[in-house]
Amino acid sequence: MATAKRGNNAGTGIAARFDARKLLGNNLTWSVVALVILIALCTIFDPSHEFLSLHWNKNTGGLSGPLITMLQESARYLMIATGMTLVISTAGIDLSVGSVMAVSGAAAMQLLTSGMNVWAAILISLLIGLLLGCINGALVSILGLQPFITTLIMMLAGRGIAKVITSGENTDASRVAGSEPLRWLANGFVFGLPVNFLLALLIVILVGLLCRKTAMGMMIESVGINPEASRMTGIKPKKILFMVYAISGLLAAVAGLFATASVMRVDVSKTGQDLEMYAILAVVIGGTSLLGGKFSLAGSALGAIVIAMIRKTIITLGIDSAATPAFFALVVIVICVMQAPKIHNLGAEMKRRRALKAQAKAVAA
Amino acid sequence: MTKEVIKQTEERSSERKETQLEEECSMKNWKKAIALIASMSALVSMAACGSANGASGGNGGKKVVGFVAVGAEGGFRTANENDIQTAFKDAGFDLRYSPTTQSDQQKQIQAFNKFVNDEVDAIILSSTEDSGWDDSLKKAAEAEIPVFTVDRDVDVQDAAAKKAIVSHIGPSNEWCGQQAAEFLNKQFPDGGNGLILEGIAGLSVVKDRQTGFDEKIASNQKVLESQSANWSTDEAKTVTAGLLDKYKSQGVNWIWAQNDEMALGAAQAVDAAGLKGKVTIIGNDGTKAALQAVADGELAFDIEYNPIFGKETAQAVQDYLDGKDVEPNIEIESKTFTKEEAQAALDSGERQY
Repeated sequence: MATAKRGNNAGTGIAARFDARKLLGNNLTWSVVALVILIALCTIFDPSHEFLSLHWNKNTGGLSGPLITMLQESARYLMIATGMTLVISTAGIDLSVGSVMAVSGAAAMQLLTSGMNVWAAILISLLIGLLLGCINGALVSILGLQPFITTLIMMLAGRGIAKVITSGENTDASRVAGSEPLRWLANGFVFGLPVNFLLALLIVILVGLLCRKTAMGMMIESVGINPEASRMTGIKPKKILFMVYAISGLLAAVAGLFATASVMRVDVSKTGQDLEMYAILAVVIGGTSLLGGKFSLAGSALGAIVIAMIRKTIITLGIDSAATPAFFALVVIVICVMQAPKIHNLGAEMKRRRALKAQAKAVAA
Repeated sequence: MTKEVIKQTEERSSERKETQLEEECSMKNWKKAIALIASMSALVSMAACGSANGASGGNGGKKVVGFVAVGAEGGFRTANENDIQTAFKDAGFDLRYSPTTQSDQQKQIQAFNKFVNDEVDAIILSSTEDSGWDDSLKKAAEAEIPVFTVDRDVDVQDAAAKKAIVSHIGPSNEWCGQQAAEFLNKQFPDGGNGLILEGIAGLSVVKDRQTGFDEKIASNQKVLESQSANWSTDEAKTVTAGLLDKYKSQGVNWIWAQNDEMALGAAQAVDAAGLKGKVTIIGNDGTKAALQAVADGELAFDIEYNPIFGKETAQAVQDYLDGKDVEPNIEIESKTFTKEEAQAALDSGERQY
């Protein structure tokens, strides 16, 4: 109820009623509304009501506060959600992102403890992610396997690969000398803001430019709508499919580095666990259709931040651990319901019905 | 046994037919996917067949012990299961190791039932979950196969099933919780504010450690909040950072993490918040990484959960099979580590994990 009112106010503030409808129909609006409500909830229930407070932390050389840690956590979601958006808009899905995160994180930590140069370790673990993405891409595009099956197999295999890399241990690289650059990538600050968030944002913008300033985005969408038709118009669907899975693998590797470098330790069974679901949720919240053919990178990015904010809310509100999945689901479903076109047309629909009834009455009389 | 093999071969041949059929009419992608799965499952059943044949081989008159294990999970588990395997080998048993994957209890139950069918001399059970074992244990009781539970205890309702369990061998989780509480009482005699990082909700380890802690913690110690960080370092860092922000005005004096992984994550959050040295952090399990952190002053105290009890387990099994009495609950002693003790333990180089 309150959400609808807020949306309305924002709409009428701009101009006519038509604009308000358009704004209500926009997926970004509801993500922003959800963010605002979650932040409001946190501020109210925070014992000192200082949820929005920011202060300078001499220790880290950057701003600190609840919102900053939220942004730090959102970096990994931004990465996997971006890759997932491209894959989903080709009418595919990539269930392996969480496992690829674990593999790249495991590789980075293991290489660091074995004494490799930190930059080489970063490069190799990114390449491993890219390679796993390419395997997905090859199976889907060249062999024509179902994306769901292919990436499900990679999801299961990935955990195994991560365990093989670290021989089942949770490798700890926190005491490795010379690993500071990687630690800085996940925990450092530039201009007072978290490095990993800025880096993630930069990557999202680059992917966005690549898609929207060239014909790439349109080609991806056309493959999602009808691969055969797009092939006949001169687009190479196989190449596009291969590319989106490869990009998704690479971005998942970046996310894996963020997740493990944050504590400089990989947890082979927990790193990236369930994150494929979070990525899909972020994409859906952002308004990309799971049927493919249409995507919004800005929407997914906002969706990723909403996901991070929900996680933050769970901690701040102190929601019982048994109830957290339910709370998570509740927030997501409310956002999805508010975005549904049927809900927006509800008013018009009721008017139409009433008119029809009146008409029927008039005829009967 | 033979019936099983026949069934499997039948399944295999039918699957092969299916695969051929699928290939003949492979017009669409999804059919290829199904074919792939069918051929993969055929492979898996072949592999299963192979191992079944292997297990029935001769054992040279040795007593056969089935070990229903957890498999790769972390440092503790690896040290624990390796130790049990070596100890039984040294004691002259034929130990059949059957680990599960991803804490899948279903696989453990299958392995357990297979050991009962194979009529092994004893079964060692390291269960992933404490409930759901009644039926399997009843079968073991009927077949008169003694069962020894190690590490995690099993919660059994059925009286007939209870008879199968001879003894539980492992360190006490309640003791771990008590040690953490006593250390805090000593450190903060005038009371203090604290946070608790719990493991995965619903596990018996979590319940037992919490029970022990609650028994001993002084009433002037105030638990500001208790949240789950799912045993994960990464999640513990996020949760701790959130809670430190939330209780900034009250001030947090101590954090009790129910395992080492979470304690290490909490330490990083405390460090990032610029509170290093001002918050007393306690971990649990005695892993090398945590002991190093205790020695370096990042953690204040660590409680071991001793994984090395293969010898005791082998002895208990031997005693029972020889007709001697065996204690129903064999508690394995663990140590606690302060800064100096941790350094000494690391210097000795004896820590396996």
